[in-house]
Amino acid sequence: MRRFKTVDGVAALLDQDNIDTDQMLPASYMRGVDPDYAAGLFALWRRDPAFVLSRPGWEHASILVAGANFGCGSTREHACWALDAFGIRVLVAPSFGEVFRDNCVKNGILPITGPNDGLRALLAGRTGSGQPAGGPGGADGHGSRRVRHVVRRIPGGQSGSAGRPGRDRHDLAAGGRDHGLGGRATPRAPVAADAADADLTIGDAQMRTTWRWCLAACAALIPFRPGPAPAEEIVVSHYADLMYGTPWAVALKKGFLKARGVDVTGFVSSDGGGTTIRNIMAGGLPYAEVALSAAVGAIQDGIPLRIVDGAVNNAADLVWVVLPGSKLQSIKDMAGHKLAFTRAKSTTELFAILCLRAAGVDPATVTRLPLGTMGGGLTAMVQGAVDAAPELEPLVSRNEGKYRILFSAADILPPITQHVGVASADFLRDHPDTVRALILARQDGVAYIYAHPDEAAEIEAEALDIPVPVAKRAIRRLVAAHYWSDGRLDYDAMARSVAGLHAIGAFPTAKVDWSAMVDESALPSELRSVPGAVKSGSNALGEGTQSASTLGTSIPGGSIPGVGAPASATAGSPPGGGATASASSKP
Amino acid sequence: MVKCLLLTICGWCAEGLRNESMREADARVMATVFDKIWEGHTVGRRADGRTLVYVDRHVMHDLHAPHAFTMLRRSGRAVRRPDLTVAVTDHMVATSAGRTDATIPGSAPFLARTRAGAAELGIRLLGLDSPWQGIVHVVSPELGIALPGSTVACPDSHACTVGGVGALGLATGTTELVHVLATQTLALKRPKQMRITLDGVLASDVTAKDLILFVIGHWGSDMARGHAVEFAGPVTRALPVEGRMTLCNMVTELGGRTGLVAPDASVADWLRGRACAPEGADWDAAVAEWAELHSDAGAAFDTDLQVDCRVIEPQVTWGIDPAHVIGLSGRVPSPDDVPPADRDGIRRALDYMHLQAGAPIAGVPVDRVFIGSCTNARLSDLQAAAAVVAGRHVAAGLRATVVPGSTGVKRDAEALGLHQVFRDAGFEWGESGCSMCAGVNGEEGRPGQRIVSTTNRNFAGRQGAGVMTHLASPATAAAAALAGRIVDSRAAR
Repeated sequence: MRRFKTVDGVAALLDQDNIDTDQMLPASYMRGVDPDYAAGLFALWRRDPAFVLSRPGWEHASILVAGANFGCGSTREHACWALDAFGIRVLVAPSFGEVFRDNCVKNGILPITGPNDGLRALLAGRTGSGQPAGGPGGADGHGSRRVRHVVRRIPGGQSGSAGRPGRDRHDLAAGGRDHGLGGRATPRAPVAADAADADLTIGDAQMRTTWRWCLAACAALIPFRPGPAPAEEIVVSHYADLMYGTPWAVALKKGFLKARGVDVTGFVSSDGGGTTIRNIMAGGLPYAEVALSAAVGAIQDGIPLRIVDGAVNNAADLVWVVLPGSKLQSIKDMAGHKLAFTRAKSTTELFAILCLRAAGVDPATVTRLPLGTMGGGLTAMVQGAVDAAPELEPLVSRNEGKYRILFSAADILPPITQHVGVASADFLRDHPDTVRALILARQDGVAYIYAHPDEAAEIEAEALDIPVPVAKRAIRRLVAAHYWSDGRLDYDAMARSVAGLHAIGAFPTAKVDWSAMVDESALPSELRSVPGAVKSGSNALGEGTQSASTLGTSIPGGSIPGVGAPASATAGSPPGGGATASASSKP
Repeated sequence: MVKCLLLTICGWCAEGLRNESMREADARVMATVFDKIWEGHTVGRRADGRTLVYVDRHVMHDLHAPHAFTMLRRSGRAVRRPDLTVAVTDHMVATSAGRTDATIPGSAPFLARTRAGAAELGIRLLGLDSPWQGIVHVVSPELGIALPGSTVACPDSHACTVGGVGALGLATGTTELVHVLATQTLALKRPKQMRITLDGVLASDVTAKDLILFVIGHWGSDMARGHAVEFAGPVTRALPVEGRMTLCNMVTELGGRTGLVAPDASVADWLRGRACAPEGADWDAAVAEWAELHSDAGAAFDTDLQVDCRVIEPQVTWGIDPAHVIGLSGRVPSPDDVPPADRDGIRRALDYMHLQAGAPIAGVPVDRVFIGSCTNARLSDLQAAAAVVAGRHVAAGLRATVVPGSTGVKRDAEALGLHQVFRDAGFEWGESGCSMCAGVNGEEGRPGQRIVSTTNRNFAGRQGAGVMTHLASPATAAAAALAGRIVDSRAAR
């Protein structure tokens, strides 16, 4: 799903109630398996040159203001795909068809429910409450005005600050990289869940109002996995939105996985924290690539997991940007200014503090604001609420020229490990060859990226659904910084990561005993840092406090015995049991 | 061969409803039918306030299946309960005689992908080669896939149809369909509850379709927003089961999330012996459980409405919103009759439908008649239409089509000789599918044609660009076919 960020665009008025999804996307545009949805949006209405979306200037509209019951009728999600393909990002209406509304959120389109009289009057070019006359084809039926709109989400505070957990706002916004850096394998929903406030600001009109908007599910992924995963998939945290997974995308596309004898058909992107850990422990998954902090936290919590290879040992993808006209010239100028990060104990907070310290700036002199997401930070920066905001690749490359890079974490700090590969101790013991093959295939992918960065960029562009030039810029930057490890573990970089996490209160200890956490037996010998130092197959970590194996069991329930409830589920007690607890805590 | 398939499907329907959680719900005082089903399927409450609801049956169709299979594949997930999942081909299939997957070239990839995906994922497919193929909402009660008290998810707004047998239909989009495939659950906001009590008695020849059109016309097409609707009252209880399905089918045109009727003995009678219905002792136990599925006296509804059904005559839509409804003796409304805020809508509708404000609706000339869809293509619907056309002939120049709701309905109708009645009267007798109701397979009218249709949506362009649709009951549609104009079927007799 495309992340929802600030939308700054042209708004069009469709001033009638009960616009149904048949109007939005006529049936004939659902006939192809991969039809031109953009052409299908309001296709019959657009035959009329007077219809607002047919008129010059509105072909790039990104906001629709409509009457009540917008999107009634068929539940065809195709209607949302058509809105999306056309470029519509925001809908404002007094009410929506219910399933349509849910579908919108799942496709990254923000439906704002609220009275729209003022907007309608503005867009219709009228001041009264009178409605323009005419039908879908009528000359005046659908007014519009080329005004600048900024729809922004009020950046979220920390959990509980506004009664809304900051994490719930995560997903509609730009790549909220939350690694669950609390150091515990706490499941964190990768989905936006509930409600937040949205401001809709109409620049010219000085009109401002606040709506509640609900993010019903926003599921880029099915939000939890109740059953064991097929063995042929691998979880790569943030595979779908950040750059960690490029070697995997390359390995898949170039056939390296197959060549190494593993049948991996795809990757599951996940939020990198406890969710990933749970997925791997739920069974079947041979390997996952996760945040070091999540891996260490899980192992400290007693989950029988092993770190098996290194993945990303620096933070070259993380920068802080300022507006082009900002008077700030370097990180040393930050004292007395405001800096955004995503949320407490996150990677961005860690690196912000470490960078400030390394640059000789006392973090206490910098107002640091947790704005929930990168989108929240950038929006706040554009609106003057903060001076600098974090960006991760590929966002850095996408916004190149738009903002000025104030400082890059990798320029200021020594290497600090972000990502490692993990496998369950059992799987590693039983299938060491599979783990090794995966590590080798990834290593092939890394080698390919360094040898053929532009070709790799094309593969990554497809994987992330980003423009090729953006991917090329990002890959070149990261190649220059030697961002992807060939599998080698960098214990110094890992130790810095743990120490930093401890320094910001995210980790109980400043040091960890790597020998109890790392198993290098699957690494090619030339990549092992201390050959033979870490014993293979040691199962000393098997005393889980969390019965991870139960997470994969079925959800009990259903009213029809022998149909709904699997044999293992306790009959007739649906809301109990570990499986249910896991399901309900992970929307 | 047929029996084999049935046995396979029966495998997962071995027992009826008897579950601790259901009893738990019963123990609460004054619960509604909806409460009982909802509580009985609650897996847990999520932090965002939504409820994770278990899905007993998942029925999907060919319009969404190819996309959903792709999304599932991309996510790397497997189908959690293929044994509880059934796919049908209905939206994309041709309904002409001798059809194959390739009859409509544009549909072929959908059908091929649906078939391949179902095979790959181990999902039962009721495709063109199946004797049980048909419209998903007709097939699932017909086979006993939808049972009283069960939750039935379907990626279609008319999922609520199964409310007619007391099942809770849950409509989804494509993304949610994938969620059900992967998890066998849905995360849902608990809807508010509305009871519509249908009081009095129905005049003869006033059908469930007329009833629901009247209700929508009276209250508007988003009156039930956010609600689960229970139909109650003596008229509801007197409705045959298939009529209840028609009633519940159009809850979505009322804006509701889902609709149902408390199952009674007539539902059990209707379901007995169906392919997937429980058998033997399981059947007895199921029927005993179903008896508990009623709203307790004093149970609270967020909205409670009554309709005096004595005043209702056969209904027809005149405009482009399902709420644009009048009685057959009525006149097309004028913008002047309505509050200023609604006038544009009326003008647009009059414009599109080429109707004069204030003109009687009876007598409006008709080019085509379509009898079909999940609303009105069950056996009793075809019988009602056949009773009108028997021994007569469609008007000159008018094209009339009957598309049975399922291949099973078609078989039953042919056993009764209905196909001959229709053919003799000049009707086309098709194979089963959604056909002109959804129009996604290309079976649609030509611009400027006026169609009386037993379907559920009269949106502008729904049955083809520029096509004018009048929704009505099968009897009214049949009468229009004979007369070549909209006419009261009572007068036609």
